[in-house]
Amino acid sequence: MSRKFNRRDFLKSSAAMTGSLLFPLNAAALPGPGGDEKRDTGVEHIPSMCLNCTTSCGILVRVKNGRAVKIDGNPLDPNVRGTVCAKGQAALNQLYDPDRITCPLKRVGKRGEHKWKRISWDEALGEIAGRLIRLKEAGKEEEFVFHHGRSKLGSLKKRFCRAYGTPNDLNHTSICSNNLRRGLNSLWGKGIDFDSSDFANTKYILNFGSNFFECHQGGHYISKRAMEGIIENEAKLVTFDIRLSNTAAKSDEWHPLFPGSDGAIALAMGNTILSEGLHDEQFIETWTTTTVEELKAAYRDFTPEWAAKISDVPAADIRRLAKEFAAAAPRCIAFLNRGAHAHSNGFYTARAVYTLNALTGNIGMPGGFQYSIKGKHKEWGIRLNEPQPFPRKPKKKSKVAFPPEYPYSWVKKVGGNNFLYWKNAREKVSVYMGYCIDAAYTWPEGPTITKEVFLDEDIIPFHVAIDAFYSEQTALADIILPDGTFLEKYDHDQWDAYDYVPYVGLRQPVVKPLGEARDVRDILHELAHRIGHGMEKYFPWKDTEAYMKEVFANIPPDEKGVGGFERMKRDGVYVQEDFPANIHPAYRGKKGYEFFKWELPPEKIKDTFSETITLKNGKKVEVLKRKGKKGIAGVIRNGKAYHGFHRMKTGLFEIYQEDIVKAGENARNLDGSKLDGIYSALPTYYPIPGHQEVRVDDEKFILTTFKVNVHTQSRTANQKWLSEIWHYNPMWINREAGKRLRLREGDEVIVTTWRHPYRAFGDKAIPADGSRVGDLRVRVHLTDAIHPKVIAISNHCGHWEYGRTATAMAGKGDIPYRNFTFAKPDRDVDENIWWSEAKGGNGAGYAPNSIMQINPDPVSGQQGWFDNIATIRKV
Amino acid sequence: MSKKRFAILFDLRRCNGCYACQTACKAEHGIPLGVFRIRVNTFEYGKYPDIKRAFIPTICAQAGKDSPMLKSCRDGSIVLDENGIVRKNRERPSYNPGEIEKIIRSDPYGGAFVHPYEKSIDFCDFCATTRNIGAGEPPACVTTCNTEAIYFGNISDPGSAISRYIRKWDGSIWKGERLHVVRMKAREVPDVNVYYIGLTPEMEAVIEGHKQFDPTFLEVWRWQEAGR
Repeated sequence: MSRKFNRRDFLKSSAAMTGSLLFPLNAAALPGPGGDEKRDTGVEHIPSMCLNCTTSCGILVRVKNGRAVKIDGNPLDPNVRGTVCAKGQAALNQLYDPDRITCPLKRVGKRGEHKWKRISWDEALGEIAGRLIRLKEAGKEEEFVFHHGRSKLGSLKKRFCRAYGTPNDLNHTSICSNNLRRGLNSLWGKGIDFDSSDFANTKYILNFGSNFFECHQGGHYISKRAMEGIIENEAKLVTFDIRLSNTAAKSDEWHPLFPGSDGAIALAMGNTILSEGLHDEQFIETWTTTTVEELKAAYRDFTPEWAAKISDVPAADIRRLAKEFAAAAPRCIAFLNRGAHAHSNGFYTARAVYTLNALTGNIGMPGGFQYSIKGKHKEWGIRLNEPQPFPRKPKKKSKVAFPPEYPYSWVKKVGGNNFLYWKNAREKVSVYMGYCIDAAYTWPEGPTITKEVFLDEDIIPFHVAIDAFYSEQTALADIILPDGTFLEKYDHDQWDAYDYVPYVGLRQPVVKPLGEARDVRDILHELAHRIGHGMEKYFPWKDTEAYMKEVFANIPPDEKGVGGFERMKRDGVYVQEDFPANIHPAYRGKKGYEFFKWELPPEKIKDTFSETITLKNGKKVEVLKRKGKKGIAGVIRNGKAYHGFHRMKTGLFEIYQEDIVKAGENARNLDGSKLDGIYSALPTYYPIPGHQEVRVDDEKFILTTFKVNVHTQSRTANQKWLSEIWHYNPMWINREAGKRLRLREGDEVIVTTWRHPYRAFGDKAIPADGSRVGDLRVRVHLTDAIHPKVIAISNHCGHWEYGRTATAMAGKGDIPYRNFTFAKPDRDVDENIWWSEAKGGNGAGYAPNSIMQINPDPVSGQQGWFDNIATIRKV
Repeated sequence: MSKKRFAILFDLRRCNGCYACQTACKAEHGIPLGVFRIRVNTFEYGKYPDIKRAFIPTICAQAGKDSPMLKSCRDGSIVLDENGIVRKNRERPSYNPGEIEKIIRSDPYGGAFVHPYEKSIDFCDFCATTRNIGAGEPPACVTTCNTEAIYFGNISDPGSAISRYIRKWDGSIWKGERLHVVRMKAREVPDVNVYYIGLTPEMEAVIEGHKQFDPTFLEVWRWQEAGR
């Protein structure tokens, strides 16, 4: 591993000089910044965790005289190792956004009319609590909806919703990563919803639609490690993507493919591996729920020639890459992300891609596909404390939170459909509270259907937004509660541990909340106490700091005696250094690879009894169980007791997953009739309705979106250093296809999208009649970096709210609450947004979601973002 | 040991155009919108499906005593510091637009600019004003680089990070190709202290065209233009 002298080493060596090797991050041991600032005494370095995307990197924030001035990576965070990306660097821009909301606001005009008055916290929380009390007293708790995006509230949101008694604790997972997560945990078990593969030691990376050099949950960690593998091991990176992402650009081979055909390619590679005898028979027979014989039969028809017809990737390439992949085993990784799975056939794509790792037996092997371990998983030893009592699941049911059409969806993870369901009066809503969500901008058909639902006071009679910024959704609220930014509040957080170093982290305020802004955890706490009716007993702590103290109570003391919350505050992270010996002394010296193959020590077999499970395909497996405990204690293979894939009921890697079939039998339309679907226990493929017709129709394209390296979906456009880089998102179209349509760079076109022409199966509530979804006027970008049948408009741009930086309205429009903001002006925002149209620039770009149809995967409920059938007309 | 000469190296094999260095620099020095001490250039060349996208961070060439800017500066507003780094003289900044323009025009790399608010000249000084460069603390762009594409140090010291990295890779074969460590535009000014691994003629063309600090080249529609 190459090592350069960087800030981390610098910090370490400085710490060593002060004789404090074990506490290199003790703030007191940090060197002051060099040069001119060195003389400044008011400088502190406060560890926390970033939240400018979901990855949650450990950070060190330089705070000078009460102002956060610079963000660096926390060298103690084993995933981060001291670096942060552009978003992390620019998070200061959101903290000091001059257009922030800094006091509670109440609507005075019509909803969406942007007329606000300033109110006190007492008045705001009093009104909200009053409405929630009336609802509770009427026994209509389910009419309260708490809707959150990537909230990082942990168990607190569940606690709040359960304590109130509503099942409508809704999230955003199905418009995000549901197929990847559901695909993986259907193979590997609950809680294992991301792989954290061994990229640094691999020789071969087969990447289906992940753009990990730019985004990807945990992408910062993968980039670091994959680059190490690419440089030091000369690892080969092969990327399948409809567009040349930066990841595809850094790949040894980029294979453009027709959208939604990734699963077919993965199956065809499996076909090659099995038919050419390149599979790991021993692994498949011993550690999976299927057999080589069963797989060979199931994969027989998925030939490379079949996949080539669907995908445009030549059969010879598919065969060659499959052989290369298998030859690199076990130091090879097949993985994916949204490009491959955010389709209405993406659930089985995820299963097919992940299964390649099992076919070649690289699972858990050095350089292979790895177990995703989170520091707080109790089996790894760091047990975060959940303050008691914790409320039980409410008795009330919801057909929006749990639509009967999706019985195999991960609990409560069907989200892309909910505004359509409310519009169709599936269920009544009385109070809607949104936190960390901008569905009017980010949801499929958000700028149309979501916005329409919010504007209709019969559907949403009362709308509360908890937000630090005036987002498209927050602008449609009745009351806005000003949230702190992540640099002003608490969370407990961590990402899945790469390199088998489990850890937990603390996000803590590095500066005081601006103006009257409050940590959302304090807001929910006070609301619970104001609502009362027994709800308050689940929020017994004094304030959020006291809550965090309890959460981290189990963090052991260091040799100076500093433990618990104090240690977290000082270091930002706690690392389980002695993993895996902390699980059992017999594991000392092991790293974490092949955990499932570790034999159980005698003490762990004590008090267990064995049970034989017979699967529907005839395979039998003996598992160990403990009386009164859910789940298994281990699995018997070849006469010995192992950990196995201990989160699965069989203890095996469940390529054959009979629960999918079982769920399919229970799938029901809203009227109770049986729902048709493809519910297969083994990986499979089905075409997306209408797509094969698009392949041969010169007039039609598939419209997709993509993410870039400096933005998240909706929450970064107000950050000036990021929007300076990416603010203008013309529609990408292949140069030759564009020429055929007589388009030139920068020409304006109208893109029209059309619903799928028919519904093959699945949710009847989703329209599929070939009708028009909508039109969008955009400029075009002719490029060689995209498949000829695909057009693409990036996310992030086209904000019509979110402040002046996001909308590039510098010097023109202004926020409607200017008179009640505590935020300080920013000269850059006032004078210098050079890309604004007022300054002759290209402006703030386009928001494509108005023409992205609501399109759930019928098995999992994942939004299929990249399936839109589109036509183009020159203006 | 010979005189201290601080230098920076960008390994373009490792650079994936993430903009972290550019943004870290904006934060470290409070650089306003529209101007840059370090800019990541993204550009494209080739035809579908053999299209390539490459990334090259560009900064002030830091040419030491040979610096054309240093030579053209007559009012002492630019100095060579004890570490061999060309930097603006914070005690005696020039606010004379004519003098500033003359200095900026003398720079063949386009790495200097007029700070829009301070109205004085500004360019990369390897973070000499905010970090302990002499003691071995690397600049902000180096410490935040996720893929370890940037190396920094005293190139006269064989034990420095940059010297070790050059020794490791210069002339070696990687993925079937021989690697060369080259200096940015060394033909014109011999003492340039910005090094690259993996610099291609297409990338050099970007620098020749003085496109590297024009903010509009951040926009996607100019990527292919930059590569021509």
